[in-house]
Amino acid sequence: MPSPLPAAIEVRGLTKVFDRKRERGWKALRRAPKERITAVDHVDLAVEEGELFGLLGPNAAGKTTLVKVLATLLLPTEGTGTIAGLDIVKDADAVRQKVGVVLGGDRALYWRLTARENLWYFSQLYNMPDAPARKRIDELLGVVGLTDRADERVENYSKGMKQRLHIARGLLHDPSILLLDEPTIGLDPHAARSLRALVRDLVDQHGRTVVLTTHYMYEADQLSDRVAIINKGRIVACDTPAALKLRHAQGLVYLVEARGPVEDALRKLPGVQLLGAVPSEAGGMTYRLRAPDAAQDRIAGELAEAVQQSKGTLLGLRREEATLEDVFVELTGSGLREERGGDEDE
Amino acid sequence: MVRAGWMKNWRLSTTYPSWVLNRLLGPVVAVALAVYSYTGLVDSATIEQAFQRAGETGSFTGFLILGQTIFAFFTGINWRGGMAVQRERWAGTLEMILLAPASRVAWILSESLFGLVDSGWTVFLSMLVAAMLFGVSFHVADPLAVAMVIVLTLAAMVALGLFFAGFYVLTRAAGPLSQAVSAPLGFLSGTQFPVAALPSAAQAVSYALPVTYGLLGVRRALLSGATVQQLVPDMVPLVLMTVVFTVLGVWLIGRMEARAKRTGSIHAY
Repeated sequence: MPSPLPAAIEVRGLTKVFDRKRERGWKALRRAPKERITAVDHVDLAVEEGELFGLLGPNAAGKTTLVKVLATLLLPTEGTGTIAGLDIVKDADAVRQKVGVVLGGDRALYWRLTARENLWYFSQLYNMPDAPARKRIDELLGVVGLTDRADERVENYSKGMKQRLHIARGLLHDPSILLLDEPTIGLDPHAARSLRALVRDLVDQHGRTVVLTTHYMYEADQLSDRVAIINKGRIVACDTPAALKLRHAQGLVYLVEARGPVEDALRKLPGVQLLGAVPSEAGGMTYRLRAPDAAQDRIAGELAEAVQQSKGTLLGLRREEATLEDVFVELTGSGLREERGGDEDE
Repeated sequence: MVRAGWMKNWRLSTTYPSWVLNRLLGPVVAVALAVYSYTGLVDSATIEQAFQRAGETGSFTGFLILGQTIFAFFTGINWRGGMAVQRERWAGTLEMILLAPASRVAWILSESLFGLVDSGWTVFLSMLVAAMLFGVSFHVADPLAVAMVIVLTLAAMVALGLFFAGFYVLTRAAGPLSQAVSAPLGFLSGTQFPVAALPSAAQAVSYALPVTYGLLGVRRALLSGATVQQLVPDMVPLVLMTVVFTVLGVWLIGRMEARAKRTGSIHAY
């Protein structure tokens, strides 16, 4: 029987610890014990070929650090990792040929150069011969929809266009694996949607394996074939979005839109868990609550009654599908936007 | 790689015309400052006599012009090559460069090469202008000696830049560090006075610097008409230092990149 193909990315017990000086400025020159920050903590992962794999977690969860270790920009403190069967430490040069990396943000491009010039410069760093490089650049500018603006300086680009150019740069050397770190951060909804479509297309039409980090649960849910949820450097769950929701987001999720001091009353309902609250367009608050399955027949009535008893005004009440955020809350006890920490994702 | 480095740097520097102006004016002003700091106090003839009595040959003004222009050359190469890592860190592109499989040494050398040409024409023009302004004539007896000593001086400067680049992979304070190193280097290399005027302890440091030998050799070749044979004592240390700094630079870049990957200091600026 033939042995199974190696996973596109395989990580075993991967750990990255940073030693940071506690003091700044002149005080930092003194010999003093350093603070140990475990950004990635014994992570095990396997990403299959042709898969769009989401890494979902709040800021400072260790997503960027994990991507940078896989990209050979950081050395792991412990554990092993392979990309296309190549060791990320011992075969770092070969790994760089296999993997394209897009780190988020406005920078990482020469703003005073045009898109075409940027791509040509980076193609030379990948030792690409001139003529094939220029052909590839034309092709990629088309893929990311920048052909019309290719000869314009990057400083005139919108954030979304810069991010598309980042992706083109990451694809220059035709890597089979693409690592995208928060590719839609800071983009307006239209640009983010169009970028997500491009990423999905890279997997479906161009056969790439993509690892995408995000703290947007909607993005992970919509885009990913499988999602790993990462919190404080640890992978707390990994499966398809549907399987994660089925396994970890049990219960009924309700959205209650109300005006007035109703929060305490909602919280006090037996078995009801408040997942979050945001101001609503109608001037009240929208409360997101979870109730046990057993309460299905009576919970809507109880919620409405709780609002009335606390002298609030009920503006709306509806049931919602569970989301990956509910999964995250269930697994970690906190919301995706509540987490704060000190690693370099910040 | 060389072509890519050239395209990028040329396009980036020519988008700021004031940079070109600064590179042209800088060495002329530096020479004028050095010349007037002496002639403003004592007449030229007295200075030239004192210079000859100190055992030096050629004109003191020519000595100053060459000192300033060769040092301007060094700062230009150091900015392009030695500071290449830090400039990319400032631009936010360092991680992208280190993600590529290109040789780091080849990349830094391509940046240095641009620095050589970029500084070269401005320094050469400035030197001519300064020589005309202050009435200095050069005495070249052996053009081959001039060419050899200039090439060896530049090679040693590129090697020193490579060595500095190794340190700058690791530290985020490369900008101030580079400036902190530059002024003492100019002082100890004897850009404005003969190295012999320094205390003996300082002279020991001077003679460990390639710029010192470069200045000695170029001045002898252009002001005293020295031949290749007469320049051997300056050229041998230049060759040795080029080899030593290149080997150290290559080793340091590899070590410092590995260390920066352990500590996570590549990305921030």
